[in-house]
Amino acid sequence: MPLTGKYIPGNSLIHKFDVQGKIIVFIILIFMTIFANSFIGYILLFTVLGIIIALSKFHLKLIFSSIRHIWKFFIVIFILNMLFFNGDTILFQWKFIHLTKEGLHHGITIILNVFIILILGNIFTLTTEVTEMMNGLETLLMPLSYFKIPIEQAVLILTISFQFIPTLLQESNTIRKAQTARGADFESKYLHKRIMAMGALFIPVFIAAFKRADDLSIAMEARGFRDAKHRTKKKYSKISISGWITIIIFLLLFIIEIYI
Amino acid sequence: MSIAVKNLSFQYETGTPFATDALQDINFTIPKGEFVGIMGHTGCGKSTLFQLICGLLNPTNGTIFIDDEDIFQYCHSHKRHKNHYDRKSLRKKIGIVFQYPENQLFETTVEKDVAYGLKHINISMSEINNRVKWALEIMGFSYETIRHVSPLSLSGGEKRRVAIAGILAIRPDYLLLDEPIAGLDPIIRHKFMQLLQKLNQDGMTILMISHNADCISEYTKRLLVLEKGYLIADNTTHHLFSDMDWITSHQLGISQSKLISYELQKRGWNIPKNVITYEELLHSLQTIIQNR
Repeated sequence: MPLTGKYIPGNSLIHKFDVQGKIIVFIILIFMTIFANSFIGYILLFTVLGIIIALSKFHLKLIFSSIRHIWKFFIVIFILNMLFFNGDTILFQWKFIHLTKEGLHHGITIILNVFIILILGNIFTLTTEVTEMMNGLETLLMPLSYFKIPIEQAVLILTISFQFIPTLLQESNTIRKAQTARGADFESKYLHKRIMAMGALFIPVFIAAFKRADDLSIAMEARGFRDAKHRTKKKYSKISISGWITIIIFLLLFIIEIYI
Repeated sequence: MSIAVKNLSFQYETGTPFATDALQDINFTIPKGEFVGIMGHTGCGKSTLFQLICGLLNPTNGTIFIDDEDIFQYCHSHKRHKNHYDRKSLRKKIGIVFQYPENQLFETTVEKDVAYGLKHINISMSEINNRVKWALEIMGFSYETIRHVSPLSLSGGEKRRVAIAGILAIRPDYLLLDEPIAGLDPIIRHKFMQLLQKLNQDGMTILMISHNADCISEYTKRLLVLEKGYLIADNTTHHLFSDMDWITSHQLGISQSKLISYELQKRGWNIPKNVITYEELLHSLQTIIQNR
């Protein structure tokens, strides 16, 4: 499951790379994905992706685990984009559905982009501890605080949310089982029955989430928390030289890619 | 009429690097009408076992027969086999009270929440109302006062009782309870255990997970002990609790009455080893004092 804070410790180069560097490179890679317009551009992108995967030393099964669950979604996006895209060279036509060469191109591009970004996101969360991630994010966004934007609060909210995703998932799983045991049908072939059953799931989970938020805030205050601004942090991460070099390399790759 | 567990094994997250063996080759049979206790450390597989019995999980190996029917038949085949067991019938036969059942309350009134489990059973509206009334009253509520109250505005203990009423209203043949009395005050605890005893006498088969050795020794006749996914003991509660060394070596709780018997034995009182419950202890003390 992507983005559930599923960090797996390791000592690959990706693990050890600067957090802030990772965040910046991640963003550059996303832009690279969006702007990859030619075949060669994609080859470059996939080569880079391949190198990153190899460097992370993770089993391929693990990295592709989130994709396995949503492959049907991919097919839907592909078909929708392909069929309803307005292009010039019509390959096939039936009533209001026209399959154009541009549409086909567009469909494939969209799927590839989603695929690449998902994999990148997966590698990112697998190699970076959540606290480290948030530290890096906070340091990067620090300049924004000069414009009176509450960076510390925002990052704190993000951090806590991430940390609690696995807990809330587990809780909703338990409630789902309890309600199933009382006859709630989450897998009925009738849509309206499934929707009714959802009420028995959402309401208890929401209530549990609110209660947890209340308890957590009391616990934090009891341990001396006043507000997000006045916290002392354990480490201040700074981008190392190797970090800067990597960022520059990726920027260059990006520029090269635009010109291909 | 029974629950028969045969060679049951369960593994979480099979095929990933996080695979964990929760249950290993479990075998036992519980005939109708028994009151069975289940003990074991956190993580030994007790809750997993309950969820498998209810058909909420599919086993990795082995199967479970409820009333002589294999509930997991064809469960691993990809298409729906025409002879596969319809688990919806389990919802009528088996009631399960999870830990902290108050977390599952969600309806706008107590009445509606207790009736939730009855909606899928084919009974009339009047019968539903009868059962809701019965369930709320045996859990100590006044039906007319509580029925229109929002369950989420009740106190913790009241919420728990409403949640349990919701399961009892189903009138299941088998009742599974996972730590039902954790966090309840002593008087409510006692009343609840008395209620379970009465339901058991009226024919309900009860399986109860508990860490509370007092509860287990006073109310259950048979005890299953799980450790790290293995069933390490299946015997009468009496037999298992008689062996003080065994209990302490597996770090199970010791009931107060047993502890008192043990301490008295150490100080020279002639209390037999198989005295476990309060009744037996009192009786034993009376005999000793009379014979002085």
